[in-house]
Amino acid sequence: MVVHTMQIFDRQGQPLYYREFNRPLAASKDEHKLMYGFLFSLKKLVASLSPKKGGGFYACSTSAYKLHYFETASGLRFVMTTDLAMADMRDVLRYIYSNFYVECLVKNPLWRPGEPITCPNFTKSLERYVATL
Amino acid sequence: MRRVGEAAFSKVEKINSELFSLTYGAIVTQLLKDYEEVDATNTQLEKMGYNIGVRLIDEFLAKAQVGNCGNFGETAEVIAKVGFKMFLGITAEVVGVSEKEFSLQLPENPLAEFVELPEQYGSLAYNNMLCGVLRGALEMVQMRVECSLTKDALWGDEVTEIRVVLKEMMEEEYVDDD
Amino acid sequence: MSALSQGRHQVAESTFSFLHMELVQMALGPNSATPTTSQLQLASRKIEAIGFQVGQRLVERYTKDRPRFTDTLEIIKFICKDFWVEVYRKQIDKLQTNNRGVYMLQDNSHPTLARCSAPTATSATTAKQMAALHIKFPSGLIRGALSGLGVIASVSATIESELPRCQFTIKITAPSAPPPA
Repeated sequence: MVVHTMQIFDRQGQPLYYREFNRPLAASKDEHKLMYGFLFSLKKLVASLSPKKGGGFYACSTSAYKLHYFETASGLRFVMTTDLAMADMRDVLRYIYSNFYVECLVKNPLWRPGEPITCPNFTKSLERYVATL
Repeated sequence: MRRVGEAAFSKVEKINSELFSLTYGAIVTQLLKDYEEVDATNTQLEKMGYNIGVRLIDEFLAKAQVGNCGNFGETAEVIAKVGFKMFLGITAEVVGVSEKEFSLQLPENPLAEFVELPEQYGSLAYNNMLCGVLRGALEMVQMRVECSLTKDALWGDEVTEIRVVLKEMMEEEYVDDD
Repeated sequence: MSALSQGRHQVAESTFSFLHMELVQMALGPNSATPTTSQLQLASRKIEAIGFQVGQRLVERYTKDRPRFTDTLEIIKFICKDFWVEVYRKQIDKLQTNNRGVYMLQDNSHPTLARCSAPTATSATTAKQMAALHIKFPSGLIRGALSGLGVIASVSATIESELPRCQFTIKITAPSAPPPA
């Protein structure tokens, strides 16, 4: 089970965090914008296609990898790409939100909401956690 | 909702409220010294509350097991029974609910433990920081609101009451700046 | 009587932490991202003064059912143990004294500092300066607690080595009054 990348966007589409754990091919220019636009459109599409109210998308796959998505009511978007073996990552992303984003950033007096995330408390804790997946 | 609130409160680390209320009181005193008048102090308290609310919302969303709220009334219940419980250890009552507004009544208030307003500051909105916290937190979940302290035990009222008025549900926009 | 009026009410620890964070921002004023040295100093004094007020009142509450302390060292030990536990849920880790009115209290993992983690773009000096502001409140707490118990002292807070370790140095200027004969 391999984690390829992890990113976090805020509600304005600003990429707050991006980390490659295992990514053989290079990222394209402006990929963050593409990613955000894709997520935004997919969300809207999924909502309008849904047979019942509520429920958003949380994963989508290609033949090569799977993309997992978790959005908080406060507009934070957690995106993780993994190999196809990874099942439902919602709990993992929620854990990252609750235990790393909240504990290491929200409660960090030296970090302001909306700032790019480079604080070692967060980055190191997240890396250690991802290594266990 | 009450049980959700109690569950959330039981999971968080707690401290004796005295440290909190004394610190709040000292902050209010300092602000009065700095601004020398009530209105400016009220405004500053609300601003500080806003800054806190903007952060606090994420701890709330992460730790409280609440789903999305269907309407403004549900939002009110969640704030009153879960939000207030989780952070202040008290449960508020929701009154006067409509589509666009509600009021929260606090039967007791840890911020104002043992506080008495001296006469020259009789109109101080001592609890205004709560209004700011609500405004900041709700803005992060796409609701632009106006909050005001409508009743205060420190003003001689029976309860402390905050009115929350929905100004706008903010739509998500995607701005492509290319 | 409600738990509130009996002094047994509890709030979330994070409620206080958020308030404390905002207190520091408020003390820094509008230019809180890039404060000048004098702004930092002013902010320091304000935060410490607020800690002092709180420390005085808090120690009154925490000691009202206790017998009087017999000497200064006992008071300091009380602050290192019971007082610190009430406020920070842990004790001071190391206490040293030169037996001539100077005490050094070391907290190996101060809870507020443990949460401080600077963005990598910040210089180490700036990071330490900003972090240091967050121990002015506990510094004031100590000075206030001492004052509430009749001990006049100056208290300074420093980060000698690395976060989250910090030191509080107490210099007694006037010891507590001896008990009446």
